[in-house]
Amino acid sequence: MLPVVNTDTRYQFIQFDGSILNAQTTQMAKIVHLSVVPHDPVLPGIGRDGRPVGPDARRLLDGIARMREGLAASKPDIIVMAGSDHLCQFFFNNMPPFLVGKAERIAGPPGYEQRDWGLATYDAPIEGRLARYILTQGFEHEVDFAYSDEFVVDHAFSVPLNFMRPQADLPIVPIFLNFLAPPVPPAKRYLKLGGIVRKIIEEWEPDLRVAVICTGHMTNGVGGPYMLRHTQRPESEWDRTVNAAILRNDVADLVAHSSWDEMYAQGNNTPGFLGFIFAYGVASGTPFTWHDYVPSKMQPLMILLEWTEDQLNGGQT
Amino acid sequence: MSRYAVNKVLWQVARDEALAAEYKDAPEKFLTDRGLTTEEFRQLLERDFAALFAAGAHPFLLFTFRIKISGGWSYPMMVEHVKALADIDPPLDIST
Repeated sequence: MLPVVNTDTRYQFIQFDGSILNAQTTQMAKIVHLSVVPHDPVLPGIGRDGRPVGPDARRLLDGIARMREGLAASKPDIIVMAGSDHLCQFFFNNMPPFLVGKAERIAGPPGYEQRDWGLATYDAPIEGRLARYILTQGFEHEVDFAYSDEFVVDHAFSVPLNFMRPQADLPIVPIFLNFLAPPVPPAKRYLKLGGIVRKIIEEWEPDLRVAVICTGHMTNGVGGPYMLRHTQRPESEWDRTVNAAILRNDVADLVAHSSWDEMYAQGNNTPGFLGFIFAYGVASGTPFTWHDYVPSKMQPLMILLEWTEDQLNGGQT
Repeated sequence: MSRYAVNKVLWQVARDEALAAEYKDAPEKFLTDRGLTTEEFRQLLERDFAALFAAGAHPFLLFTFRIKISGGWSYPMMVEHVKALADIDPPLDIST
């Protein structure tokens, strides 16, 4: 039997070329790609103006290119992106642990980041229906998201999105996770949140393909006394321990090593690892499809992670 | 101690061009009536990055404050910043 084309306008999505995509309501939305992509604002400028690219940076950029191809191959309709705000706009006067962005567009980074790092901007529409669905269903699942109708994204969003979808042709749903301004919720909450966001997406009626891109840090001390430690010591014992747990898909061990105090002691931005924990919540126990671990004296250690559609859906695609 | 008031100065200067100009032009005036202790006032007036860090100012804010008042990021400035903080045992609690 041929699939029935649903003409209910609630499930019609106007595409960038002006055509109308009729999502079928017989199936729910599906997670087709999950990745953890670095947001180091120095990375996009590597090799600029003909400067030489070191082997570690080459490996990172090649790995990101691989994940970009993986994202394209997953043919997503929408990207949900989870990242942090680097005290760009959210401050201690009003600090959301978890926030859904539901403005008309996602745009950034702010001017000072464009100037300081020569960063390109990213500007794409926000898929407001999914943003609102995640927000309201989050309440049903006992997640008290904050929300915002007017915000800017900093390099935590613009760098991964420019790496992964430079053509900016897909609608985005941004989810802000507080990694930076303590107190932050315990790691187990980021894990649970990732699982709930996945469940909400998979309960959304339009039959659309949703990619989830996350970002975070391994040992990272930007701003503090350990900012240049990687130039002497590219990896810490914590990095090795965490990477071993990633290789074993030992999520309980990842959470056990993700207390604020343990991460912060590695370097003041290391709690950005909570972005990985959120990704593991989305993965809901599924081991990664592809991984790379890149310690370097040239930039802080980074891990790249990708889960494919088939992997995420139990080989059932 | 008012860590919040200190962080607010760092944040406003780092993020707002007009306020950064006010701080640069007349720092004493900018820092007055902000609920800062005498020592915090001194630290922010003299740009005593080590003392600010040791007292628990947010490190990322402190660094972006320094980037702003230095007229932009540079590698030598980053090296100098690390050197200034090198002998301090970082406070684990930086919550406000």
